[in-house]
Amino acid sequence: MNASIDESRFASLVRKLTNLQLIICELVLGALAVCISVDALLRWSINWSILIVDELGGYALVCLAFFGFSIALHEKALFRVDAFYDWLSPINRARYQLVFDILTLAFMLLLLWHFWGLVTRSLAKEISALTILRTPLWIPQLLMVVGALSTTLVLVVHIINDYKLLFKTDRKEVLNG
Amino acid sequence: MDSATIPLLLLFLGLLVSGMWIPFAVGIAALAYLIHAGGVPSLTSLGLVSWGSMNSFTLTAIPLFILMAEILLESGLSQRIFRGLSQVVRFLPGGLLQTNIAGCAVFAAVSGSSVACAASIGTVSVPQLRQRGYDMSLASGTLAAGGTLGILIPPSIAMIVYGTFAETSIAKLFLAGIVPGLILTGLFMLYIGIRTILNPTLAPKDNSGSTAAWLAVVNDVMPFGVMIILLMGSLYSGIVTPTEAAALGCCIAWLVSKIWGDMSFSTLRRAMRKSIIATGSILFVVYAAFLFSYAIGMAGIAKEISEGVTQAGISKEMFLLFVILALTILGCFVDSMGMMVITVPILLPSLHVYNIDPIWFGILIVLLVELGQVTPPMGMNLFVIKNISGESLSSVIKGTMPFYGLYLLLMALIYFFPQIVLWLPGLT
Repeated sequence: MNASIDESRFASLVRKLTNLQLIICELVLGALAVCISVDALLRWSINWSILIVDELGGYALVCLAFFGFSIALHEKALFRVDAFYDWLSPINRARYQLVFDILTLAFMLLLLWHFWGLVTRSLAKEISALTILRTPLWIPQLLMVVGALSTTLVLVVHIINDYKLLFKTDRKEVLNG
Repeated sequence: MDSATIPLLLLFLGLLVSGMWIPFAVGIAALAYLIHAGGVPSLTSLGLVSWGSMNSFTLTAIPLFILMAEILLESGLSQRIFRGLSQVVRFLPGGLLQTNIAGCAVFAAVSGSSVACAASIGTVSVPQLRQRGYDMSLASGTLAAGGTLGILIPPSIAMIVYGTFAETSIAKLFLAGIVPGLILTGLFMLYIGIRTILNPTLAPKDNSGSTAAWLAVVNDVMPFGVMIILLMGSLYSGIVTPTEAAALGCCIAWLVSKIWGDMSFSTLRRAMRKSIIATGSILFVVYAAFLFSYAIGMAGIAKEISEGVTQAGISKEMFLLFVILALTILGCFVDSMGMMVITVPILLPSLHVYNIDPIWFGILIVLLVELGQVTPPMGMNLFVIKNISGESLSSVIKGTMPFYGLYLLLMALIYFFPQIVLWLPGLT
């Protein structure tokens, strides 16, 4: 019972995290649209550019992409070929899903490990962007780590749910109809 | 070809077909190829490849074009364009069915997604089509097929992704899509006209309309007219880049929706949330495809295929026929973005062998992706229209089938007359 409560607390925590990321992404997307438009208008009207928009735009995309991964996964909005998957019986579908989620968790952990490696290398070597801002690259690269970590956490929630669905007797009865 | 290439390819297809989320299936296959090509040490490049691929100003056009379409969709402006165009084309045989195609073509000029296009026009038109006694199978077909114009008529998310992988000018790709897009619109309208003349029961004659209604047309069509002129005008005159056009498009869409539509703060947030979810799912596929592209480059698979094609002495026609067949079959199972990112990195090196223009090839690929959007069982547009119209899937497919022939006719036209695609980009 306690374990179940802990799991739901964990799921709720992950949901809050993805909600927070969604709000950050909304702000980033809005700011991106405004900044790029202002830059284009300034360049066209008075032949003057903000110059840093290209660089910040790239970082914004990293944020939208890697935060977006976990949001899309949380909302189950990712694409899949579902002809075979839908044909499976509910119990086999749940088994497949558990295997898929474990495989994808391994994939995400590997990415997370290498993203972290990239950040620590950038930090240790004090690598910065070859732009006016001279942005230390570990800062925007950290967005990849946060996004991948969040995706990993969403996957853990999925795995817990898959496990519950498969091995909790009452749910199993539902699955078997 | 290496002995491990085929088993790895089978692993990839196995993961894909068995229903794993597409970006993960592509990503896992990429890791398998990387390990095969360079062992575990080759994985150390993962971080740098990921950073290099996603830290891209060009790709920021994708979330911005998605947001622009969502703002227009959420503010209810698609209702106005449908109402306005229904007056303009109601004299043509087919009545509101022609409005579906014209509406999709106009919405396509401010949206980069075929699903958004089909959904925006479909939501408005289906109740009216049903109320006036139109044949719902054909009506569903016009909406599903018309929606695909969203990715052929610029701006187009599919073209941005293709252009990024093929390292081709996205602005030129946009220009290249205009004439084929207009021809396809014309072919669709011609088909509807002929079909409804031969069988008038499919589309009842519409005698409504007055001078006042004609005046309202101007007011209804104006928001989209303003957007298209400002956006495409600034893009094609070279004032802005595609990414800047996307950003300006968001601001103009917000302004236009504020003036002519229903745009509150909560509507804007709803549009943003939907855009972010759509962006996450699309960019995840694009990101996985970058890993895949890097991995098959490391493993030398694309090079092997292009060398194999050369050694086998396959003609250009046979190669293109193979591409059309492969993508048509793939379109039955894989979504549009998946189709593109899986095949383009593999096929690109072969283009040099046959001296095929990458812009022309990009339009061919977009047409095949369009076909995939209306091909069962994975055609997204079929499901969108099925849900909106409440028709059975088989009825929607039956209504869409005749349009397949028109896609193939356009492919034949651009093969025999490549200038249809290359004329406009050649002017810049």
